[in-house]
Amino acid sequence: MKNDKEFFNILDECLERILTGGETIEQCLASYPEHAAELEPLLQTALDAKETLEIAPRPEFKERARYQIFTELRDIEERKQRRFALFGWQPRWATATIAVLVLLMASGGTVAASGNSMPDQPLYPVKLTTERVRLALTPSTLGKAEYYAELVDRRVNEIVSMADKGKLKHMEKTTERLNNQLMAMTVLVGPAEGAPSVLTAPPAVPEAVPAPSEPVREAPAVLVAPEEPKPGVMMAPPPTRAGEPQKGKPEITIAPVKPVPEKAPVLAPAPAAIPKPEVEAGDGEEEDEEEILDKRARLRIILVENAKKHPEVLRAALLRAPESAKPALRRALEASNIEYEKLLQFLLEEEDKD
Amino acid sequence: MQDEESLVQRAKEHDEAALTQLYEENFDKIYRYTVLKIGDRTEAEDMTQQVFLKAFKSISGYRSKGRPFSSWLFRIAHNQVVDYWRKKSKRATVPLEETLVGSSSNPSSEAERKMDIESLVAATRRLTDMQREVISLRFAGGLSVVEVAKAMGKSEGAIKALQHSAIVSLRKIMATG
Repeated sequence: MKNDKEFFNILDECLERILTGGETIEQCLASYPEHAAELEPLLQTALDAKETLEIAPRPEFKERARYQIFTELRDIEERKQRRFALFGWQPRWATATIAVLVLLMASGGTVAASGNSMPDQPLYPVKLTTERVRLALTPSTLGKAEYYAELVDRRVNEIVSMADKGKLKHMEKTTERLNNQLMAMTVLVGPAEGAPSVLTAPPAVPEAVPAPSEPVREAPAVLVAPEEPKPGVMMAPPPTRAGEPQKGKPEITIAPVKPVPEKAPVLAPAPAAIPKPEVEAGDGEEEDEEEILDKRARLRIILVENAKKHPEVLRAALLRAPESAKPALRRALEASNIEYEKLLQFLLEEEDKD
Repeated sequence: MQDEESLVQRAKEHDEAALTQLYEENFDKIYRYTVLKIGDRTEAEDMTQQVFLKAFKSISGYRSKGRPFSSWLFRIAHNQVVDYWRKKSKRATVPLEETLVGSSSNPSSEAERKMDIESLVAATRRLTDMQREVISLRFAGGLSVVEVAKAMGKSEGAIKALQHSAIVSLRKIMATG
């Protein structure tokens, strides 16, 4: 037994000297001539095994794997921070609790403070939650459309702010939100399949609007946004080109990359200043007809103003943005051009009818 | 060890440079270990990536207990290998010579090496679990006997004995084919 132990030690010592010390088998055998016959084949086998295993992964794989691992780690860290920012916990069932809290604190500090927060700030999730709650609690389609117009305005400002700070990830996400909210707004304002627009029809309870008791979701899910992303919205400009009149439709001069025409504001009676959209009471009582007409007119004004302002703001941001921020800005610009073009086209048609 | 401790400490605080260093120092070792255990170089690459992803995701909970960081990685790799074989046993088996096809910029040396790795992998499959683990950690993972002992929770003497018996068996298997 003692001899065995001694031999195991000698074998291991020789292995260390050969495998990591760079010595040869002969050098090691010379140190233990009495064990040479037994040691030699074992050392040779071990050396063969070691040499056979001198393999490495493909360098490009190793590099790609590293990139993927670190990207995933960063994503996890970001998600953690976001969750932490939003109370540190947020199981799904807590959404309802948050909604109640948000309502209770509606005039309170946190919600108020979150109002001006930007996507890279800790209170931003509170801002988004507040928006979702308010949307869910706005019963009328007209009210929702007005609120979407306000949200779109916010998203544009946030995208510009993030572009100026060079925060690409936040830009991407906000652009996605902008796109969803623009589409939701278009669906509400434009004529839905077989249904009249909120700008022309009496604001009856809309089919697309969920009851307040429905779970609060991301804006596009709450409304009747298309199930699949519209390929043209994010990827390509609309088929209609600037200056090309469409058959059977009134010619408009709004192009994806051109400012909104100056004649646009005449679409609706112009009040002295653009009033800020207000949330309707939502008590289910019928509103005064005059009030409804006022709201429609106000929504028209807001849409026309935004259709002019947003592309301008985004184009200005595009000019000063770093190269890395430009693709997301272009997407935001494209989305706003496409959706506003649809809206303005619709408004022009409505005006013709009037 | 002190250096590794501070490196791991920084990695636990999500220091990307420290994580990168741990990645670079250990990736090839873990890869070789998994190749020897599963005999498939492409699968071994993916598995090695998973090992690091798992390790880095849960690094904040890592406690060294006097063991090298790599022994923790080998433990994760070992568990991955066990899972791999469990899943594999439920699927159709693939001949060893097919699974050992890897990628290389030098096809001729790759062909020569393929045969070597192939027979080595086949031979180690005929060892006992303990012997195979010692050979894998020692020759593929590059751990010393002391480190293997810590990783496997055994004495140095026991590992030296296992190392000896494993090499003797390996020689016999390789000689007889």
